[in-house]
Amino acid sequence: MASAATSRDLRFLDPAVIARLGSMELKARTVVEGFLSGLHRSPYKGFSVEFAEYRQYLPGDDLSTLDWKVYARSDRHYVKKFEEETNLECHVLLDVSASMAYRGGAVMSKIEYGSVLAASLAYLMHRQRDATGLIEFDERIRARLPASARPGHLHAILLALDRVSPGTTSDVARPLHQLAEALSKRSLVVLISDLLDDPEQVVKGLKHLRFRGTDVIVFQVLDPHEIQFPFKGAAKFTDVESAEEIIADPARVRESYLEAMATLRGRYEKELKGAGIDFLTLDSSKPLDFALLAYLDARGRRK
Amino acid sequence: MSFLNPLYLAGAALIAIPIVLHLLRRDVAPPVPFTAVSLLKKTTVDRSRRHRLRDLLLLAARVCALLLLAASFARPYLAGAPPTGSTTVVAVDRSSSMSAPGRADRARTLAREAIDATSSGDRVALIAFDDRADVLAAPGPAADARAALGDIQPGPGATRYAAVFDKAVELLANEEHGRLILVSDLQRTGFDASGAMLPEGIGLQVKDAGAPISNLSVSNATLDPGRRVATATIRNAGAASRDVDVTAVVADRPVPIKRITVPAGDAVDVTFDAPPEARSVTFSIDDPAGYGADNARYSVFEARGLPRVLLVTGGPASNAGFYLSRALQADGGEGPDFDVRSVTGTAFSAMPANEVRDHSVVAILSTHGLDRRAGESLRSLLSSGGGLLVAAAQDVDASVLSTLLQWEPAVAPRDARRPRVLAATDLRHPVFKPFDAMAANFGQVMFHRAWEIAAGDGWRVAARFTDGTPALIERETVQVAEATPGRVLVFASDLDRRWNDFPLHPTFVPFTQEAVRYLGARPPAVTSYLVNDVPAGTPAVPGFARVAGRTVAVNVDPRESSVDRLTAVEFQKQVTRTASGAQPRAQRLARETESHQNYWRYGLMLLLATLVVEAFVGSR
Repeated sequence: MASAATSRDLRFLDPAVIARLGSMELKARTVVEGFLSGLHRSPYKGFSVEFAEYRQYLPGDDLSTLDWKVYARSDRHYVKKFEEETNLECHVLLDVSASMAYRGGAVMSKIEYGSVLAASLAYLMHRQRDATGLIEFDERIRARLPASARPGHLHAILLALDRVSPGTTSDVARPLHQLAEALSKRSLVVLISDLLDDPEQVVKGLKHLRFRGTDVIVFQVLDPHEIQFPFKGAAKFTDVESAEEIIADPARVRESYLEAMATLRGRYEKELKGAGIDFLTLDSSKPLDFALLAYLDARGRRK
Repeated sequence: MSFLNPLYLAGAALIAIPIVLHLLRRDVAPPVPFTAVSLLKKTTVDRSRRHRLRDLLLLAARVCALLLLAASFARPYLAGAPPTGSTTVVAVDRSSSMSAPGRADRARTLAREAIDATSSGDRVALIAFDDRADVLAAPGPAADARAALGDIQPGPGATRYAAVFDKAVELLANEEHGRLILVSDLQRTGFDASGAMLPEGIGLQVKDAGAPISNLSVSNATLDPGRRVATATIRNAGAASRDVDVTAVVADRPVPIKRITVPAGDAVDVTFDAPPEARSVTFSIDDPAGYGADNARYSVFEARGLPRVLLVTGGPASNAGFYLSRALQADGGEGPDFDVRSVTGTAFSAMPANEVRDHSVVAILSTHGLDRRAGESLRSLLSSGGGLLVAAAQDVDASVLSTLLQWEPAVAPRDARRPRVLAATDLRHPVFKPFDAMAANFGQVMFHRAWEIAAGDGWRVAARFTDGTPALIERETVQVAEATPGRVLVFASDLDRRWNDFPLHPTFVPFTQEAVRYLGARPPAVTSYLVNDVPAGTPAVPGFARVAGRTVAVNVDPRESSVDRLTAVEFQKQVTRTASGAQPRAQRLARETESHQNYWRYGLMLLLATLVVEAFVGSR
């Protein structure tokens, strides 16, 4: 029964199902609720964002946390205490460069997958009362919503993600440096990108953030075709960003390509983990639960 | 480099195919949008460079293969410098008629004049001819031909102009301005019935080395020891009556000379006494004014022993063998070719083996009365090279024959009564070869009854009925030492008009005679040859010679004794000009040059090597 429920809930994490949903809010809610529903039956049971206890109001507490029903019954001020409630400021950085618009063997393009992931994270963060911000960038920052925990802010983020459109070439390092300079308090930065950029510059930007005390989680979103390179027959491969063309016989270059891709990912993994940065490669054809779990894992370690 | 068939070079345009494919192939790769092209590029640059090199090698190999193919079919050759000057072939008659007084000298003089008259740059060839033409000096300096002229002496051969024309055509095949100067006494008899042919491109100049003469010849010689007489025929080809002494040597002993008078244009027979044991005779006359070679003639007597054929029939009342014996004794104009005798089976069994062996062929038409002795006689006959003809009949028991002749496996035919027709399809078989197109006439014979024989080991089917069953089968006995192997022919139907109407058809006589000849009843040997048709290895000179262990006479062709001559103009008219030599000289020369060089073979070998390289590179 449990497994049946799990499989039923997990299907809402499947990109093929999510892609058919309407608004980004619906997608994010479906993902998160489905994920959390699965979590209750998972080994991660301890990660609950549910109501934990009441605590007597102290000056400085947010008045929105006052439980007015308790006050009506007992004439005392109590605030709701949630398990994961913190003053965390989360920034989701979504790469919207042209390469993110690539869709090879998946139902969703990388940018769609990244948007759903960003929305889900924002939804989850909002549920945890974290201040959530969104930055869309390609070679420059194209849109920015500052971190906020206000109820209407989530709607603004989801609306922005709903309207996201591919940009031009990517320069991941640049917004990272800009953000590092702008952040003034303890934050969590989630970078969603294919990271098909100069790895040295990207790592440098991420380390800059880390140096400023920011926790960083990096989701590298890759299309199945980028991971497996399943092409057959000679083809003229055209770079979607630089328009560079190259004719190659996939059968002959597959092995070297996969080696190069593994080397790139290995380099990111090695250097980022060395800097205390969580790094996870996501297949855009696979469910989002791994990404959410990774986030919660990183979030939990920050307590 | 030139080409014999340059049109094939158009095939070289096919090289456009691999080139176009190569160019197109660069663009046939469909565009595929991708993101990590930088990763792809990094690995592909090196590889694509290698592949580009491979593609270029493949392209080069394919283009080379097509070029070599086209070039090979175009038949390339290296044309040398065209020869300058022209070639003159001087042909001098050396036939026996040139032995007339003064003719040979005059011919040599005329030939020398012709050689001297050639230009300094011309090539001169010298041919001596009678019934065949021999090149004494190949086309070259006139001095060579002049030096070879002294070798020409009149021989015993007969004049045949066709031989010299053929040789001249051969020598002048590559010449544009060749000519033939023929020096001869212009005997009319030198032209065959079909005349002589010469291509239009070859000039013909005729020089008459003859003069009217009176010639006496021994035109015929016979020896008949039975009648004790030897006869010579003396012919006078002159315009006046001549007296002449005829000398005869009979059995190596001279006999008294006889003097006779031969009227002009007539022939006279002279007879001499010959002893019964005489086997050769030589007649000669003295005719210093005429041709020398026809003043003697030789003859050899050999009893014309007819091959003996023994027919084994049924009892005394049987008429078996009637048609066969009549067919074998058919007179072809010079008497029958076979000595045919019929015996009953009982008599045959009682016949000693050596008497049976005196027969060339035994025909079994009945097995009645044959016993073990008959089997021994037949096997003895076969082992000595004799022949055995077996014809199916009511009275012939195949099992008896198989037992007597020890055939393993035994012949076990099935007697079948249904109409069928003989189909002589293998005209290479000696029995049917003389029929040629007439073999179709066998189809008119209706065989109502025949043996259906399953030809087993050792038997070969020589002819079949139209229903596929064997009609004539044969086998050879194992050859003993150098003896001729004996042959057995089995005809699947009878030869006595009981099972068919074969004896009533025109094909019956030749069929039976050819069958018997094939089985070993060979015609009498030749005792006389002309000098121009002696067997190989026999000297072509008049006189006596040994051929296959026998003495034969060799004589000159009596036609050569003729004094009838042509004028130079008449001679020219006898020569038929053909257009076959009208082929452009340059083309002829090119074809010959190419055939000697055979560069196309090297082209094809290179093509093969190129294809190997292409396959090797392509598989990388």
